[in-house]
Amino acid sequence: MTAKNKSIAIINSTAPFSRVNGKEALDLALIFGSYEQDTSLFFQGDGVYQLVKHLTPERISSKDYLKTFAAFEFYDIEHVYVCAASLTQRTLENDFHIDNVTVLSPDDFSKELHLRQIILRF
Amino acid sequence: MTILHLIRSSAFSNNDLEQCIHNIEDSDSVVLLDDGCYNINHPLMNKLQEKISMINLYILRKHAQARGINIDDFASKEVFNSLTMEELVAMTFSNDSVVTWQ
Repeated sequence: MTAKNKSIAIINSTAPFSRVNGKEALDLALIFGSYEQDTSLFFQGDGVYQLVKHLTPERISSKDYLKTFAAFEFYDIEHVYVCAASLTQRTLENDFHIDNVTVLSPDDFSKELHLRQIILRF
Repeated sequence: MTILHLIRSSAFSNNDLEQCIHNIEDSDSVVLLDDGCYNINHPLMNKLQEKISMINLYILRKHAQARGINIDDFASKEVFNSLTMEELVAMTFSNDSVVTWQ
């Protein structure tokens, strides 16, 4: 069985700058995208901090990998899901630095995740 | 599609277990291993048991024993099935996908 026709979920659950998880997840998503794999991104927990607006990583001399999120549609990554409860817990608005983000209730988030055949968490 | 959830860290030090619980459907399985064994006494276990039937809750026997967790006492025996590493490997094949929460 090849991985060719399998759907892939990448869960982002880490805040952007202290650890490299977010960058690694992005690199992987773009690689899968380049090879036309069916890839979806899921943001949960502190991972939702990767999507907030007005980030200024240059202030802490970090590379702004989050800018690359804008390229998702060029890589055919069409599904970006965010857990509504994670936003509420952190008093964040449904207002992100990229478009085409779907905010889902925890139940729908879980159901959506269960539709994917391969799940990777960062 | 069923997911095998592997819990490898203690919910007393991070919220990986809580995130996992958000993403559990009733036909999924959950295995506690490594420091995840400490979760056997965590309050979140009640929440986990609301989401998933007892048959699908497991703890890796040797990992629990190494940490001095007595999985043969009545209370935990009722709740958790103990598992060998070989059985865990078999479970990775019997579920559609595997997620490690760590």
